[in-house]
Amino acid sequence: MTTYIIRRLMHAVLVVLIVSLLVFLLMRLLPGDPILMYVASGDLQSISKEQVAHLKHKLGMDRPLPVQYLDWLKNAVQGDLGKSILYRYDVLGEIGNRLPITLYLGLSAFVIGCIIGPLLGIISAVRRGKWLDNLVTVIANVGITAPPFWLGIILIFIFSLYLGLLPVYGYTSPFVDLWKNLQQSIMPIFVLATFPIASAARQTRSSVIEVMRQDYVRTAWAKGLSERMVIMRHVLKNALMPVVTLQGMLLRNIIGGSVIVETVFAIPGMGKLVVDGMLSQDYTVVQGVILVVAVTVVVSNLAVDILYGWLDPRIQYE
Amino acid sequence: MNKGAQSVTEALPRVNELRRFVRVLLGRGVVAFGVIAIIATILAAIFAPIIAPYDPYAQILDDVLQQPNSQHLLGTDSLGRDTLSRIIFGARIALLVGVGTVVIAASFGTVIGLIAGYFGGWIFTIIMRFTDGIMAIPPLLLALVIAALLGTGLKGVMIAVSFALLPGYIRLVCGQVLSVKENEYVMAAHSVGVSQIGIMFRYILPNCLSPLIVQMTMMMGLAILIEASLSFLGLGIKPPSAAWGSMVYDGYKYLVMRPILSIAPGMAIMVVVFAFNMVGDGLRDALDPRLRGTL
Repeated sequence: MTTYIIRRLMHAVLVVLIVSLLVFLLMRLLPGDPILMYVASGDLQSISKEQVAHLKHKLGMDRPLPVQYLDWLKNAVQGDLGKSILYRYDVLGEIGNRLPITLYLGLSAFVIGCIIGPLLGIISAVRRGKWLDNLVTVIANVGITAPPFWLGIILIFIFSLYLGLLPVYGYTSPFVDLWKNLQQSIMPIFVLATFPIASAARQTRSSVIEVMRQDYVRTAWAKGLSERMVIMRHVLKNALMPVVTLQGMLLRNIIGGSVIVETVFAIPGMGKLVVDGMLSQDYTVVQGVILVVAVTVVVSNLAVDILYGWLDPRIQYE
Repeated sequence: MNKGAQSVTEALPRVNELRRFVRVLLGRGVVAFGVIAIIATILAAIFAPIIAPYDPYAQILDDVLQQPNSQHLLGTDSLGRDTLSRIIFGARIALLVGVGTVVIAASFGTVIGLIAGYFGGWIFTIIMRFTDGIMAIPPLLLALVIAALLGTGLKGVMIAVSFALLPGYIRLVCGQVLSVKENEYVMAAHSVGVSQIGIMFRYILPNCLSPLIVQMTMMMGLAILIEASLSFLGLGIKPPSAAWGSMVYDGYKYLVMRPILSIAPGMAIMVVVFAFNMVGDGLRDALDPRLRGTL
């Protein structure tokens, strides 16, 4: 088990390094000059070549790419992701302010997805072919296809504008006003949780059906166990394994979805930060956010892998 | 040897593969619905100028923000453009991006995955670690960044979405190749002196095709969804073009007054994505060799 964890850990570090390189190359090699953005943000419309060169030198952008990359990486490791080109705020500090909001909404959605999704899948598989199964299947299929931004708008229309039950948008910290926070968070969390619920339900349903065909399940029935015992003891333990591997993908999806949800509901999280950064071409901000997102995804995948290795003893000595 | 093979063919009733395929595919109602919806969308996209009641770009400023009525079945937007006509024309962009990006991503992904899986060793390690790296970034976020850097517009969006879908294909094909290349017929091809490229494309690739086809159909839905999200965020297709995602965003401003402006194009996205997912599901069943002869 220890060697397994160490190997996964080394793999994770390698992936983070590769992501940092990819992000750096993406920002530098694709068209769009950050210097021009920097200049255009001020009132310097006509700027001479010498001034551009001077500015590049000042920002260290006239050095060879590998040097720039290593420098950026060195600073990033030490917790310095640079400053916003446009507004000069500290990128890591800003991410630190916004990450908790994104994680609060994202993890709530994730936990809800992890509970409700498999539950729906189990009910659906056990009542296979009945109306309940059909209902769950339809809900799950709609859930994985509904565009999140559209779902958010529909919810706002129904619950905020038509029924007037919930605030339209905004975010209040739970430490400031818990009730208001809950009212504002319920729709964003629901939108974020829709995809995880739907895809976990689908995955659980098919894997439960697969396991129910196994010989040991027939044996369990044959020795006279009740339905509850068969499902809980023999089916679930084995059927939930593939669902566990799905969780890493779902978490990645929730983080991606937060970009949309935070824009629709005007929530000042990481997703909103990266969209605003992209719209104003503020490269250091985007670079920093993507790196933090990738590290979050890699760490959560690592956790899933280790959890899987612990649950399935066959994996350990591979 | 020939004799044995013959008697086996005689013992089994002849199955018309194509007919079986169609029967399994259309056997489930939702899959049949998906096929019909996709065909309808393709027809709408091709014949958009004929079907659409109005010019999708014509701004009739006397008819701004109309309720759905007999002249404008889904009403008009804030510039007096007919919503139904814009949705019909929007099918063009949705299909172009959905099908185009998947074909691009699948082509590159297949070649890269074939190389990684076939050669193995350090080539495999480098390609797969880079794939892991790209996969650590949520696809929507990756597409967003690339689209914004390339500048909004159809070309930028297509490159961005293709790149976001690419790692999935590399992984899929590579995994398939790793198992297929252990087969005896591959070794046989080696021993009769078939070139490496010949083995890769003539012997290994055809045996990786069915999961690839299923994945491609499913990903068309995802590609349309990513494009719509980019357009919604203002980082996708540029405004005057009729794209479903940007229509939802435009309508969002008038949600109180004319909710149909957001709801209708969103429904269009959902139906098409749903259709592609269902057809993908159906194809998976129809192409599964274990189910051959059933139903």
